[in-house]
Amino acid sequence: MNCEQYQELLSDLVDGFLPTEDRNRIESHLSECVACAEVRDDFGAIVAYCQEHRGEYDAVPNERALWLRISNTIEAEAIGASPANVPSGANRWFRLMNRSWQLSFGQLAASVAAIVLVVSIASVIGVKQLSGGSGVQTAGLNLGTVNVALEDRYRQQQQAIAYWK
Amino acid sequence: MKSFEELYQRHNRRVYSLCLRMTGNVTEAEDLAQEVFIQLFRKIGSFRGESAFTTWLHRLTVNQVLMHFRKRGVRLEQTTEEGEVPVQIVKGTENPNAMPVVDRIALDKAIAQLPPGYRTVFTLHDIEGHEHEEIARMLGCSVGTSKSQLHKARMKLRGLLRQQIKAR
Repeated sequence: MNCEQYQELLSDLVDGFLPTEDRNRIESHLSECVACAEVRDDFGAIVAYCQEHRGEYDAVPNERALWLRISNTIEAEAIGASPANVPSGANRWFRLMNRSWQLSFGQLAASVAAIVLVVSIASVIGVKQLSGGSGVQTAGLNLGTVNVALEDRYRQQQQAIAYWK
Repeated sequence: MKSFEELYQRHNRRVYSLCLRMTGNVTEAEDLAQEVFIQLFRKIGSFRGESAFTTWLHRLTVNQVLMHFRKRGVRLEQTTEEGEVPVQIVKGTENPNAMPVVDRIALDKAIAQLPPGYRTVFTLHDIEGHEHEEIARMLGCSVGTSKSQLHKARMKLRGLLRQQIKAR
């Protein structure tokens, strides 16, 4: 292995990810190679510094100004999201018509399907009712005819009985 | 709004510092911190308390910065592309056992000069203390890529810090 290949392993060595065998090999190289040992030491110094100072944060240059920018944006969004200046005495229809509707594709598709379903059911029921009404009328007519025939027959029977008496 | 302001007071430094380290630019960091808090206000209702709030906010911040990089077309998978300062062994240092140049100002300056991909991995691993597995998940790359980027970032950072010594 050359120095470049050894240096590829230095990060893992500093982070403690290297297996013992590789670690021993690289340690023996580092004891002989000043350049690679320097890289290892520099890596160690950088990592150690970062670990020591973890949790230290930089101050925002102008904390108050940043907060004002944030709060202004949030408030502007909140005003934009609310119904546009609805008068306090406005009726329900006015509120409904002035509301902005945002439907997803799924919601839109479901609404269309529901409308189609309701219209279909209403049509079927309407057609059935219409055809059902004429049927009753026809049946009524037929019953009337049968009744008249029965009465005639009954009358004829009565006349025949009266004759034989 | 009052309670949200308290939240801002408590966490603005953390958010800003992370944005600053990841971008290396004060103006961008401020703009991103603003965007993070606006997103926080919008999404705070979806925080379920499954993780610590700081962890959740940290992730929100990292995502915001990564989204910003994507919008700017910054490649995170940068390796040894042309035009970069080559990663090399610096020989001839008189004191090989120490790197006295590592101080806050020098390190911040050097980090700011790193390419965005290296800077992101270095910030997340060495400064924020994330594991390679987490970084790989966040960046959508492999653990090997994260390790390789970190190594290159450290090498480059070392070179930049050495250059700062020479310039003094």
